[in-house]
Amino acid sequence: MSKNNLNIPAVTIQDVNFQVGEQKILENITFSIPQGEYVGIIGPNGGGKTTLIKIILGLTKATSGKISIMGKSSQYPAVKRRIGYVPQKASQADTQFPATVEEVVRSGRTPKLGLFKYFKAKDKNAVKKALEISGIYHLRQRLMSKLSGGERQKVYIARALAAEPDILILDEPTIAIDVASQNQFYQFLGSLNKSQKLTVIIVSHDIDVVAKEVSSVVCLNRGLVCHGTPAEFIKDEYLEKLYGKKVKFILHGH
Amino acid sequence: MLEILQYDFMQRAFLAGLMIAVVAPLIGTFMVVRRFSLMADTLAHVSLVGVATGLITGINPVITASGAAIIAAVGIEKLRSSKHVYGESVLALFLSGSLALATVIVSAGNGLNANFVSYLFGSITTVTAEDLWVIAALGATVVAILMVLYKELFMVSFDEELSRAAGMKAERYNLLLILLAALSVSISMRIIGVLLIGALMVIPVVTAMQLARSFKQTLIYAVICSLISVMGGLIVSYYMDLASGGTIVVMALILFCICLGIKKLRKN
Repeated sequence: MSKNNLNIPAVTIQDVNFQVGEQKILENITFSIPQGEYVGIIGPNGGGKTTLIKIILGLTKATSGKISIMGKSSQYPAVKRRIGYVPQKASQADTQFPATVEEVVRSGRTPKLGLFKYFKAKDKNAVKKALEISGIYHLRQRLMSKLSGGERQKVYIARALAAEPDILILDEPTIAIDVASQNQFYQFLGSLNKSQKLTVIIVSHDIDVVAKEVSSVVCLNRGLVCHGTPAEFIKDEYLEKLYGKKVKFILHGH
Repeated sequence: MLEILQYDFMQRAFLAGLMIAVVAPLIGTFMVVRRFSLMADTLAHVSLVGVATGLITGINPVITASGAAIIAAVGIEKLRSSKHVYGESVLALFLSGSLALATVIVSAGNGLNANFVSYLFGSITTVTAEDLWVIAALGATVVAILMVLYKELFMVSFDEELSRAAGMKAERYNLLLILLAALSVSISMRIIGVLLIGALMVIPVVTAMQLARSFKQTLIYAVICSLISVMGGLIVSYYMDLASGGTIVVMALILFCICLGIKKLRKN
């Protein structure tokens, strides 16, 4: 979806530290994600994955360091709007909220549109396209409360896509998706990455599937353990560093 | 003209009722989906402090009540977001504290009188022409703000974290919603009564949610339910000489039961 200078990284993280009291959650994290990549951020629970995502999104303030989105400081609201975010809770979101799929997806256009402006034909087309890409156009009139966890997840993705972002960030997206559908889901993200020229960043604990689908891997365990292709990452030395014990990587199909 | 409308006070009551019936469920819908249902009740109790002050100083109590509710709304939101007070105990703090303060002010003045009691339970005979103008001005303000900021309020209500991630100042919209609720409470208390305003802001919304198939439909159905309850309640309270607030809320509850029944029938 981007018409940007492709030499500028989608996300640049520079010397980011985050601590709560004396406890260090993230230490000296520095890496960048080129535009158009499909990146998996993996690591053990408590390794700082979600914290890093929240820092990128500006939901949590880093103790020190700098974040740039498409070459600009992430502090500006206009820069934040270039990111589409699908939170971890998406599949378990408020099921009582009395809104249709279309109303929720359309709300994704709100920050882009700005105050005192109303939805026009361009916005309606973007919403329609997002619903179609996500495969939920047929559900558009349905209430959120009538959807399954997987369908709700897709509504959140469509909602993010409706804003025509440059970067899509998903936090543990397969938590509520059954194992059989997970491969299909990661492939769907892969196709979004290619067809929409979208930088896709997923946070996951599922090393197996992530390594098969993504083009690069960022391993976090308080510090940056490795950043490279899945083939580089699968080496035992990194797994040991990441999980603190001998872990073997065994590829298996679901 | 209908017999009921030949009296000036009933004409004023119907006009005020009409405006309240539109405003209360509109703001109530946003409060319910944000799980702020008890907020309206709290603000209503706070507005009693304003009523007591108004009765003693001679200023229109609707205006002093609006002032008290707005100050409290800001205080509640500040305390809630600062997390100094645990969860919804901040509402209990304001609810009981303001009731205590209101009774202290009233007893320090003239003591509990009929006028003060009419604010507790609502009275159709007490709406003055001045009240009508105040209700119209404040009501129009609330509706206009809701219409202009509808898409932003929808987004913040649906998911606050996503709004923040997209660069929206969610806390400002939270404060705005509470301020609008404070205004709605103040204008409703003449007819509905302070103790029952919360019900008019919540019951029609919950009723609408039984049948509505979208957020917009929820807003429309809630206003329709509220209009039926308020108009029906005013007529019944006039002919049967009952307290208007209570009658209106009982009507709203009957509507809720009917809609719940319809929903169950639909399922079967």
